[in-house]
Amino acid sequence: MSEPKKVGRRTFLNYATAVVATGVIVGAATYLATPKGGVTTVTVPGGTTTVTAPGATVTTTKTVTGTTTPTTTTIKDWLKEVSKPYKGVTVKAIAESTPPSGWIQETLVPEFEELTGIKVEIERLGWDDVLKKEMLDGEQKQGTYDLYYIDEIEVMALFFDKNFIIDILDFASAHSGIYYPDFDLPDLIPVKYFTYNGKVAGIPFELFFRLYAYRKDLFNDPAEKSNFKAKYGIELKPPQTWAEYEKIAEFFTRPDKNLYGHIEMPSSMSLPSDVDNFLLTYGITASGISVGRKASVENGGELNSPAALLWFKRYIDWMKFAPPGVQTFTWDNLASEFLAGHVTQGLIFGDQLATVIDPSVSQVAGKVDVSLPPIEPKYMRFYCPSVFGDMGMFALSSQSKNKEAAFLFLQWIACKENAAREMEALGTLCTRASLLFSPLAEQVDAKYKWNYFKVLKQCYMQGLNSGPFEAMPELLTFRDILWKELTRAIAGEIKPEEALNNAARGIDEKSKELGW
Amino acid sequence: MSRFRPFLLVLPAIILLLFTGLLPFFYAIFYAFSNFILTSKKGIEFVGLQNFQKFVDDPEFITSLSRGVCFSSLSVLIELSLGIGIAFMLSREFKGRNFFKILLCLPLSIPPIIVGAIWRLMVYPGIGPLPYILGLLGLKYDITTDGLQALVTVVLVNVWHWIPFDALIILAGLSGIQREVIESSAVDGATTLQQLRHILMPLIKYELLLVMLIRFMDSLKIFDEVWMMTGGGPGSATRFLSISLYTLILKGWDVGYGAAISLIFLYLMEVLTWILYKVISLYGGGAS
Repeated sequence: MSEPKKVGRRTFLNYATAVVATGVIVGAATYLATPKGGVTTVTVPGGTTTVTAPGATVTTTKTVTGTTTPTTTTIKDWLKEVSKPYKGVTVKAIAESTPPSGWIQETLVPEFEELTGIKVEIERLGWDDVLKKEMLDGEQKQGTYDLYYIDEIEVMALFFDKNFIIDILDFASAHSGIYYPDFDLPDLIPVKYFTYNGKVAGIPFELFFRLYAYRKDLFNDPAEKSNFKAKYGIELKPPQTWAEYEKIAEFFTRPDKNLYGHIEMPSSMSLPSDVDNFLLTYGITASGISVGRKASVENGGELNSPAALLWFKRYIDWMKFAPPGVQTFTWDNLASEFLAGHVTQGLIFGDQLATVIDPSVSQVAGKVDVSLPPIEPKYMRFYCPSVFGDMGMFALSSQSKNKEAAFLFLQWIACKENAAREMEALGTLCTRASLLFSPLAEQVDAKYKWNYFKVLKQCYMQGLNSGPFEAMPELLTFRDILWKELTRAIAGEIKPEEALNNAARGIDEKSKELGW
Repeated sequence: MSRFRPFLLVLPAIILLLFTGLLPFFYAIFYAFSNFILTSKKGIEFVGLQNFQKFVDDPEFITSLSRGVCFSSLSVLIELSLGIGIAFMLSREFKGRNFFKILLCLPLSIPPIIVGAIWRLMVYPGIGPLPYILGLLGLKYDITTDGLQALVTVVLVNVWHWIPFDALIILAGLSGIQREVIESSAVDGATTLQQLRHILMPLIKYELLLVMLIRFMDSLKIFDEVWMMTGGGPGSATRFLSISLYTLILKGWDVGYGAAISLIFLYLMEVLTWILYKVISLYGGGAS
């Protein structure tokens, strides 16, 4: 047996220094070489767009090869030509049952099928079911759907993290022959909502802005105006603050006439959406969850902050101004109660307003207008956007066997021509900057006798629309904790502060479990 | 070859059983010992008994479970009481008996999800006739705000849906009793109540035991009707374990913890039914 080799103190220190120095150099190099999302400048045929992610230090440039010269060929002629190899293919998509997805299915799908010979099947379901099906399909790598519907940045982030979807720009780059030269991707205004770590998730065809909607026929009624002024001492007009909103809510709550002054959606499914959207007007972003995935004030979050508590107390209290059964309301009830003429004011999503202004289904078509949501001046912060905004898009499934045909369909539904048709048909949807700032926006506003696009333009120009915040895939898990606690306070089982504290603590614990 | 023929004939069934029964079960066991959360960037890691340990300290699930046990006990108690009465009534000859039997079986043929949807429309405030009628009588009935009313309502709907099942099984038991036994007890001067208590009930104790066991297990697993009617609300009033579990896995995407709770649920159900079986067996004179 040989003697173990002895290492002297000096030799040991030399080795140790060398190892540490090597480690530092390798670590620094790895850090610098790793893309951090950051600022990504994306050059596509027909334009350039910059994709920004929070905490950016690195700039990357993506270029989609192919012609950059806009063509004079119409999309119909172009599609007829390039779709020939894919004739007979069936593209399967899954989408939430919204007015835009319905319009696409009824109008654009038959036209596309006739033009290309490519069959398109869209399975339209409730939001909850869409997410469930996509998650299970993606996780099991089944490839049932070629196109996944995504309408939240956290879902998009999760789908990218899990490799359920592919970067559409990478795909376009590799398939420049089937990328329409006049598509103009940077013109799609919610571009910031569908990018993650420098990757572009898909092509948006709907945009959700949650604006304050009110019954202008009632607000402009001279008798109502004078009665309101006599009772509260202020003019009856769209409120600037939640305190003013409360007065209007109280004034218009007349159960004997089936008229109510407020609406919200505290059902387990939609409550997290309300938390997120309302808290923006109290100066709190991302449902009070910090970038470090913590919700409690003591850990840097804001979910149990005084501002959140004020909101939640009002949220519970103001149910007395809402239609019966409000505790079980979801997005669907929000729209149906409004279009039935039962509600005077509330925060409503743009896609839902499409039904509210449709005279074939709405009792209040032509009687509604929109404005910016009220805010809480005590807690509002100057950098906090008050209007919730998000998009609905189709992303290419990584398991799809018909990516090319699906990509053609995406370009068809979101091309300028069809985006304009969608805008005209639905009255509240505009996914392209060139259309929002065109005379068409004013024409559509005039047609429906309201100021929807005018307010939307104001949101864009003043930076009032929310996002892009940190895309947190974990938010989906946090929501289950959030609604379970908050609904208990809504039912009076526990106090609002207890519910917020429990939820914040629960989220912090779960966050730790998730490695944050 | 003939030795193996019987095995070959049942082989497809065994394979099917393995895939539909045992494979998901082992899959659940595998996940129950992992930290698998679909929204996590971390991969699947073995966490030992951590998920089971968490359950013990989780008030959400402990409360959901005890709520479910209360719901099931109450449902079974009402169902059995009414079921015995209906079966006893149907065991006698009267005009329109067959028509009544058909009418009684109608709820059984409706899928649970439809039962939930129908009753939601019946009891929903502002839409349903029930709150309106009770309102006319001066009674405030709102399952979206009153937890107790919601709980009682789902119990009654569960009873309404499944009482034909109870009644039919008990009726089958009653049909097997020889008429002479009842007639001779009548000759001896036994009243109807005495006949029921001392003659019929002991003779149909196995049917009662069967109904109790099946319905208790079924009620503990209830999901569709409650989810459609109340969504588990208001608050947590009707949030039974199956609903909490569903939202944990398919809304929170916490598969690891969800699988662990599923196994605990399975185990507890087995234990509960075993206890119930033993108690009834002792009461019924050693049925086991």
